Amino acid sequence: MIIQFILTAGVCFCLLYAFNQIKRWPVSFVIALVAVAGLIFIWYPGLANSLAVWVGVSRGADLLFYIWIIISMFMILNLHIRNRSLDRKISTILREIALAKPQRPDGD
Amino acid sequence: MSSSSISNRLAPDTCHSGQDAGAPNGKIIWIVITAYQEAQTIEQVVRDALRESPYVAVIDDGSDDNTAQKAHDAGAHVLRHLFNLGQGAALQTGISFALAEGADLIVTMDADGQHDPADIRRMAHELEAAQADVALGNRFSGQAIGISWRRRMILKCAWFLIRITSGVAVSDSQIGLRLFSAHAARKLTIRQHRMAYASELIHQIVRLKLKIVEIPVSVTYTDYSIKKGQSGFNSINILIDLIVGKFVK
Repeated sequence: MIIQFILTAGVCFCLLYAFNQIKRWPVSFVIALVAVAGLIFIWYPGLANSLAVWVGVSRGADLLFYIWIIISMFMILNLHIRNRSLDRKISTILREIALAKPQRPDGD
Repeated sequence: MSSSSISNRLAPDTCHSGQDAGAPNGKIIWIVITAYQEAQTIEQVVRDALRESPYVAVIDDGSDDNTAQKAHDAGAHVLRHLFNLGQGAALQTGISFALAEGADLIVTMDADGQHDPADIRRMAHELEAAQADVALGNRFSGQAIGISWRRRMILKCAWFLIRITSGVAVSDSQIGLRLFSAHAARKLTIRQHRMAYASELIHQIVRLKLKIVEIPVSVTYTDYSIKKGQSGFNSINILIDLIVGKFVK
């Protein structure tokens, strides 16, 4: 089916991204793991249904949807943490600028 | 109970007059005031603070109004953040500046006029007498004029949260009027930019085993300070900041 090739192309792009981010190994490892699992489910959709039944979800599509929600939440948290880390670096720069140019009272 | 110790000191009968009482053992007290859009009050707050110590630093946290100019006109040292970072970040800038200027004691206070600078000298003397590292104002054993029941409840929730997470029972952890010895200020590093810094400070004080003394102070809530203050919903943001902050390098 055409959709299987389209999805495979998308997952392959994810694998390339994971390889590109290899220095951030925990994140790249998770991305690669999810991508490989995705490839398996794309080409063997029956496996997703079997797994869904095994964990107590009725359909494979529902299981994938729930997993996607969890992954998205972790991605948002990861982005938020990186954002906060950047905030701290920016504040260090702004602090250095402020400390370098204090405005002293007249006549001080 | 934590190894960080807390003492409660009673307020002396006489109030400090401001001009004749010196800093303990001639120590240099720097007053650090963080300000964001406080053009309405900053001039008076600086003038009142200057009556207690000639060393007053205002950290303008990226205000769009003329807070910085008014603070300077009133006689303060002024440092500016190019844009707004939050009170925690501004405090760290102020403390770093005061340490670089040779402060022996560093007081932090708010710019909205809710604190009484006359409490500062007394806090300094009590800190010295108790040989403590940090003096925290305590509005509940002192005076909290005009405080609403909602604010009181929020502060009690903060007390409870800090009590269970740090193991130390600080009566008024969220108060902006604090005094640090230079020794303590060098050890403390405020990493939380926004209001979560208050809880972070208590946790650091406990971890570093610094001695805290709580001193009754007077806090006056005006319509202006209430409007400028934190909303109850912000408590949730503080909680999230504290949790997420644990993962940020």
